[in-house]
Amino acid sequence: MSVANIEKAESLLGDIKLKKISQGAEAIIFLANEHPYSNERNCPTIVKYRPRKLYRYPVLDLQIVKQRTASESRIIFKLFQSSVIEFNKLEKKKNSEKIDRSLVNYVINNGGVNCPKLIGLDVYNGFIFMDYINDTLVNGESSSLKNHLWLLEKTFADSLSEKLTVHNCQSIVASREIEREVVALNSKIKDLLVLTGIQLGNMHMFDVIHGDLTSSNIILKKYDSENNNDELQPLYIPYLIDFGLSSQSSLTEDKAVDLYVLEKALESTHPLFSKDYSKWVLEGYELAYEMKGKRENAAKPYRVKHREIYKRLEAVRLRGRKRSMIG
Amino acid sequence: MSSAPSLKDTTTTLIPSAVYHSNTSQTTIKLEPGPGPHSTIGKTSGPSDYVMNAGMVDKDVPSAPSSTNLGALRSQLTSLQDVINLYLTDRMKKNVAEEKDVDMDNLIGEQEDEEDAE
Amino acid sequence: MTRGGYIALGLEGSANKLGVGIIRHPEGSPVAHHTGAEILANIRDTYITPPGEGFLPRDTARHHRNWIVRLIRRSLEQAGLASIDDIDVICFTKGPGMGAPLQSVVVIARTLSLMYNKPLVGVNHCIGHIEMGREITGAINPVVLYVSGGNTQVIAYSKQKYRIFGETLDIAIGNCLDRFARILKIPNNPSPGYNIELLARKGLTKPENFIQLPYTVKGMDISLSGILEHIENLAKNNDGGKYAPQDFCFSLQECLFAMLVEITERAVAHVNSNQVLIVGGVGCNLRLQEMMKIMVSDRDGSIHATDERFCIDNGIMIAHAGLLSYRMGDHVKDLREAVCSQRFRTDSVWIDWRDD
Repeated sequence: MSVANIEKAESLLGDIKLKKISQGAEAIIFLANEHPYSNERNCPTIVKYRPRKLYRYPVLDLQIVKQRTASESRIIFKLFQSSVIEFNKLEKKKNSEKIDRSLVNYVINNGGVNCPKLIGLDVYNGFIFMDYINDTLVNGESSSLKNHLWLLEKTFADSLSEKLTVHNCQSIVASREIEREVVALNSKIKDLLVLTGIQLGNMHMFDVIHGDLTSSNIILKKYDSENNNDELQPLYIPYLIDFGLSSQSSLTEDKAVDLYVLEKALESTHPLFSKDYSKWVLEGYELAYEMKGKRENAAKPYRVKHREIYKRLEAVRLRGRKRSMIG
Repeated sequence: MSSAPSLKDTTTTLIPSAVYHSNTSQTTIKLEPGPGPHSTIGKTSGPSDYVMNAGMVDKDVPSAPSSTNLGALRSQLTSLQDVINLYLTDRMKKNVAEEKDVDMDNLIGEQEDEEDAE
Repeated sequence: MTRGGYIALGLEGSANKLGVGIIRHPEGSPVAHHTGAEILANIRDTYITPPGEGFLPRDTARHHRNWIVRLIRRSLEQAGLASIDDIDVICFTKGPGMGAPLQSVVVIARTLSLMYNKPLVGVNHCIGHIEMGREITGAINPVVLYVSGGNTQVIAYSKQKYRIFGETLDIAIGNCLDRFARILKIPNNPSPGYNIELLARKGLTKPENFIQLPYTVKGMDISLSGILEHIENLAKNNDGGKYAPQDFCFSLQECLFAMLVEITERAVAHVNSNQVLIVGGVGCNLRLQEMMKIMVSDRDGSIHATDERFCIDNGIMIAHAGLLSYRMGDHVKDLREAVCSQRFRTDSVWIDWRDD
């Protein structure tokens, strides 16, 4: 199918050259080396194409493709605007007050959501054009949070077994070294997952429900900083992508379910470490509400909001475990 | 039901009975099928009125008992089930009248917990 | 073991179908895949209510109680077995299902076990469907769409468990169809879903009569109660008879099945499989099978489905899954454990007979 769908996409887009990056159940992601309307050269652009589904009744299918393309574009636009507005607010503040310019504080203080910038769309044919944010990991894989965590998990497991063979007679040395490594690895992953949690908190405060949170729908972008010279361990900032199943809602329930979906996804994708991962994401999530409260001088209302969502999340977890099934 | 008699036994004197006790009542009661005549068509084990009123044709009548001891036991058990059902229904009505529903809530709560453990 | 194999009796009564099946696995046959099972008997009796009515637990249990002995006798006859003495193990549905009907079958299983001194195995209904589907179609490691009156799940196997990737967040697909059939007073014989399928097959009376319904896919999960409510309201008002029953049935099927195929495709993409197996009563629907086939062949995969003998609840699947479990050494050790449970999740069963 993919061949037919790729040909279809190419014929619809005329002479824009497309390179397939990935293919999900619903959409194909292409990289185009030119912008759809700017004259600038070498301007990598993501093209998300939702092909028609032949199994669906055509009227229904067209409606779904149109609705999802439009809704996804609308949400990306809204979130991107939000981060611009929040950024400007911050810049103003920066001039009047002294603010820590270090990376983590920058991300925490900016209440916006990192997501791709919307460039254009075609709802009838199911195209969305966005700017290209992906990077490449040291192992050549695309820089999704999933790939990044898998790489770290694997590196860790490899070095663990190596250490155990080298030091098999001196177990105390080995266990100390391993311990040190666990701590180092954990702090790296923890920072990243706390940042991810902050992004989710900010997104929910704009009443956007992602609807399909997984570690592959979080993309890491290298942050260029003079302070960071470590080529192998660059600083990463999480970006949220794939808003195909997103919706706008202010309901506590929807936000709690959104977080629950991520917890379930982490559990199936990173089974060994999912408990810590979820914990760190939720720490960041809480931090987002706390920081927003501080910025708006309304600490209490935001704390209450967060607590409501957290309580509901606990209820949703229980419900998930107990969901009754009648045969 | 602790010591089930061998059903291939040919004794004729065995009469089924049921013993009922619960932590919401002090008395223990023994229920018996009564004098008869017994059959496999019970007073309380027919189709519900609701579905019959909706135009149901009952195709699920139990088969007639055989003339063996096992057949006789089937009939007696049907009568015993009637006695049990009537007794329990009666008890439930009394409970409702005496507003003992707090106790019922407690009972149901315990059951829920058991299910959770699974 | 008798006559070069293992023979199991399976009793199923978790909803309105009462099924009895007898299966034989050849001695020493593999348990993980392709057991070479031989179906000696597979019979069923369905409790059917008048149009517009559902089945009540009490009456359904009565139906099961009053037919089970006759069905077991007939199945033994069909299998050419003299008595239950010739059977190695008795398997019953442990759950999930409706309480009273499940209970009525467990009582029979316990009684037979005592009378004939035979071991008992309790079987998860959903696992029964999956294992029978794999046996009949030869699918080795498929993504399973399990769709019936009480269940809607997308399942894939991983590390000794059938894991649920997606499911309904409220009512089951079959329940949604059954309740819709009651509104239009579509007959329950042989089943409401089948009659909806026949009406839908006639197509729309005119193209503009396609009814747009909410399309509620949430990740790999779906929600159906909103759709049911929407179409129920439309059917009750029906704009001066603007829509014929076939318009409702066609539109409802197209919407519901598109959602099922979509979440299955998500699971297929997620686990990188290219086999899809459809099981459960709704899985008999030819339109659902056709839509799934389009999706799967688009991904160069294969679709596996069974006909009504195995799709609709039956005793043979309980016998088959129970026998697999028994051959791994599992059976009820204490009669007090021979109980049933309305809730019994697919992913809580340890699948020790698979080796992948």
